[in-house]
Amino acid sequence: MRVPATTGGVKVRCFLPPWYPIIWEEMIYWQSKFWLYLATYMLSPMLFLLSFGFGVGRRLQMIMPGGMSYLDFLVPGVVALALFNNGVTSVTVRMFYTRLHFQSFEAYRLAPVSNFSICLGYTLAGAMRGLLAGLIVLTMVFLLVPGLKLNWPFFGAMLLASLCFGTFGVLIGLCLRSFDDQALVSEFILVPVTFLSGTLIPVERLPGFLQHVVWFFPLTPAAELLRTTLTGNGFNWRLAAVLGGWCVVLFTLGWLRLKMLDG
Amino acid sequence: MKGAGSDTCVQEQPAVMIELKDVVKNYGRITAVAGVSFQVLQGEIFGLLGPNGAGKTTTIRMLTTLTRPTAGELYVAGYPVATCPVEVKKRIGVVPQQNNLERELTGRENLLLHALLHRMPRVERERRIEELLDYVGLSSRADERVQHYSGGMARRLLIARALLHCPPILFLDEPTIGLDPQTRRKIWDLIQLMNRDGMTVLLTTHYIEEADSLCHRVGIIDHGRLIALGTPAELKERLGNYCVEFLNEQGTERHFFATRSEAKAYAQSKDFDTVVRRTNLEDVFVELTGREARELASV
Repeated sequence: MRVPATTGGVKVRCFLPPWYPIIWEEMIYWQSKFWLYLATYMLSPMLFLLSFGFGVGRRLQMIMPGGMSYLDFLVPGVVALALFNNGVTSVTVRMFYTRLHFQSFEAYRLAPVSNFSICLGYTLAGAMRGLLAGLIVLTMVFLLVPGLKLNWPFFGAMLLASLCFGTFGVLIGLCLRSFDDQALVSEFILVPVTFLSGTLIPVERLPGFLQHVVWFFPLTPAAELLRTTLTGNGFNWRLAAVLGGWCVVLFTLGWLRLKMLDG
Repeated sequence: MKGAGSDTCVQEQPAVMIELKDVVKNYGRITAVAGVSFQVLQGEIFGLLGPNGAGKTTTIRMLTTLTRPTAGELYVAGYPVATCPVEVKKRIGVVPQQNNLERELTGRENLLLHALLHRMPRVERERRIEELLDYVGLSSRADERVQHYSGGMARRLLIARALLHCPPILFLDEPTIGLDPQTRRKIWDLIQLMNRDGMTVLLTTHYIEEADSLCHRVGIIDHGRLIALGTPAELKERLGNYCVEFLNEQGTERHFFATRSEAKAYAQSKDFDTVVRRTNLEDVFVELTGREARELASV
């Protein structure tokens, strides 16, 4: 048997960024499961649109501030939900299984890649998944809702929101310790954030104290930013700054959490 | 079977590839490693033996940067693990106890992922992947998903993955656990071939025969402490090269003697059946670590 050289060391290095393998792995999953993703990402937004938008939507007109059409309100909300749910969940689930179940996450931690790059790779993977879901929903909405006008600021807002949700997914994924934790995260974080962040119901119509509390959820500024851009009111830099702030805070917390795991 | 180092005209002191100095690891109130110190020289196969929960896996995890020690110093390939983890990671290959391959990727994709993580250039990684798939006998199954692999195939792929970036040091944590004897021997061959090529190997194992036949030196660890260190021959000699074994009401009793004649004389003094045989490493292990069964959890 010919033995491949084992001690020479690979001297030449390639110029791919250190986080690239995490994205590459994500793309492999996309290739093998694209149709499954497509069906999954379409289902719940379609249910929201059919039940809330085309179903009870006309009756909800009375709760809309400033006489806005409920469908116009709902569309960016549903896109924000797609970005949030798929961006966060894809990273959280991937991290949960690779860290705690299959332990394949250790392969990343044993590679000469910094914790920063690992966090960045997973964040980008989550953001990409969120964006894919968002674009699928957008295509569906484009077919179902006549007169929808897209613009570049809206795509900028989608990008920023998906990055923010990627960082949120990384932080949650790194904090999970058991299967029960995953259920707790779903019940106590994802579900309340989904329904209270101005996606399906205007923030102004929530009970008084909740109107302030929901601004501590990253989905609220994301939904609002998507809405202002889609309705042609320009890119709201204040909301973008809030979302950017969330990105920095969540990414830093995830990075620190990964450092803590070394201990 | 063994044979570290080659005959050279100039006797050079081999480099220290792995070094631990008074290493301690506490998990809360539990002390997993309690002041372990040893060195592994270049080109050695070093075996870390110990019962379940002795601290072997924790020691490997600290050496491979996965766990921070509570106290003490660790050096791998001359780099301090605490301050230069990335440099250490470039120079080590790790075969973990548990299969940590990506189940949904194929064997080839798993290797490619590892090559990308080590930032190997395209031509180099493609060549190495083909070479190592061939080396571990998985070329024909390389494009199947790892979830369809048997335990032995997964273990061989883990070894191929650990070797892909040409590390000078290889850590193997229980490399043959749960494998059938044929696959185990195949993996022993792989380890020896890698070592013959100059690689330094640190392995932990439960299988005493594995350490006896593979390792140039072994360290026996128990309750987080290194209680013996030396070549298998030295450790056996310290106990006595010959063993007289017999069964009584308390179980099997063993007595050790420096020479065969002493052992025979003792055996003849007994008026029941006895066995006289050469001492093996398992005798050393049991004498040093005691006969009580240990819990299964690995610390």
